[in-house]
Amino acid sequence: MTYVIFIISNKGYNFYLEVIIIFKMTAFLNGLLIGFMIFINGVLSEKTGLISSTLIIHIIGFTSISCVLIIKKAKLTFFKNFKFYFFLPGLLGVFVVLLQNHSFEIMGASLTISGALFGQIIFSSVIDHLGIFREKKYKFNSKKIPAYILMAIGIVFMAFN
Amino acid sequence: MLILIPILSGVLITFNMAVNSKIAQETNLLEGVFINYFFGLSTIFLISLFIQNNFSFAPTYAYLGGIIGVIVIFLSNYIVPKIPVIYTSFLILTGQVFIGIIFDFLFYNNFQIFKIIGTIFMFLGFLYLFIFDLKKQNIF
Repeated sequence: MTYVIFIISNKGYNFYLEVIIIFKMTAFLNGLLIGFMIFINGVLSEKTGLISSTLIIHIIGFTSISCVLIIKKAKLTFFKNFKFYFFLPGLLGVFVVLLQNHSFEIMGASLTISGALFGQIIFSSVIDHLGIFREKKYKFNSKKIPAYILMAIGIVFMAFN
Repeated sequence: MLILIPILSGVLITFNMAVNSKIAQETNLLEGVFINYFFGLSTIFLISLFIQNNFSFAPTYAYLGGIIGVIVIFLSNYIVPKIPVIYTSFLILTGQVFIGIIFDFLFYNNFQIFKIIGTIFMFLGFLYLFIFDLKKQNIF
């Protein structure tokens, strides 16, 4: 997938539309993988429990990325120019799993998923508008509001189950 | 007010996506994933020292989630700097819902019409955003 994107983006600006579509394909593929992962992690969490499953998932993930780094003989350089926010995704990622599993227990799957979708859509537009941790801002335009209303209706429908 | 718990998790997921891609830009794609897992593992290791739970072995395929997680973070670090976060989120969500519907159908044998109607509405909203941005040439 990554290889295809590299070839096409090398052809230059004229192909920008194709490039957009293929980035979007990658994002969609990522969504398929996440759906698959949530299902598999759910099975693991049922058997091994909340804390152990999160621990196992992280041990396996850490081992596999370490193997990739060793095979590629990559040198780790992040300790040399360490920024305060480097530890945030790992730390918060653990709390995402814990919050979601807690929410599954008290209100079930549908509301948990719809709520998470809602949080993601709203906060994505906040990030695009403010340009948090990004070089480029995409300003919010009030003409886009109907799009958000449509998405909100979609989320409400998904909550019915 | 309990609905705030999953909404907060969604906010954290998106925040993580943005921070992660920033880290990947400061270092490189693979190292970004490594940093994520390094601090994630440290956090859950510390938590597991204080909180224990009953453990029993799961079927082998259930352990693959960790590997898929690595690919997911790698791909999102690659995509996020290139298109607006709202598009990335939306497409990831669509993919998730899509596979959710397929799994519900395959493993639980129920076809949820509300999920499909909801997906159609979300898709229309996305199409609106896409056409709007394309007209403004706002994407790159």
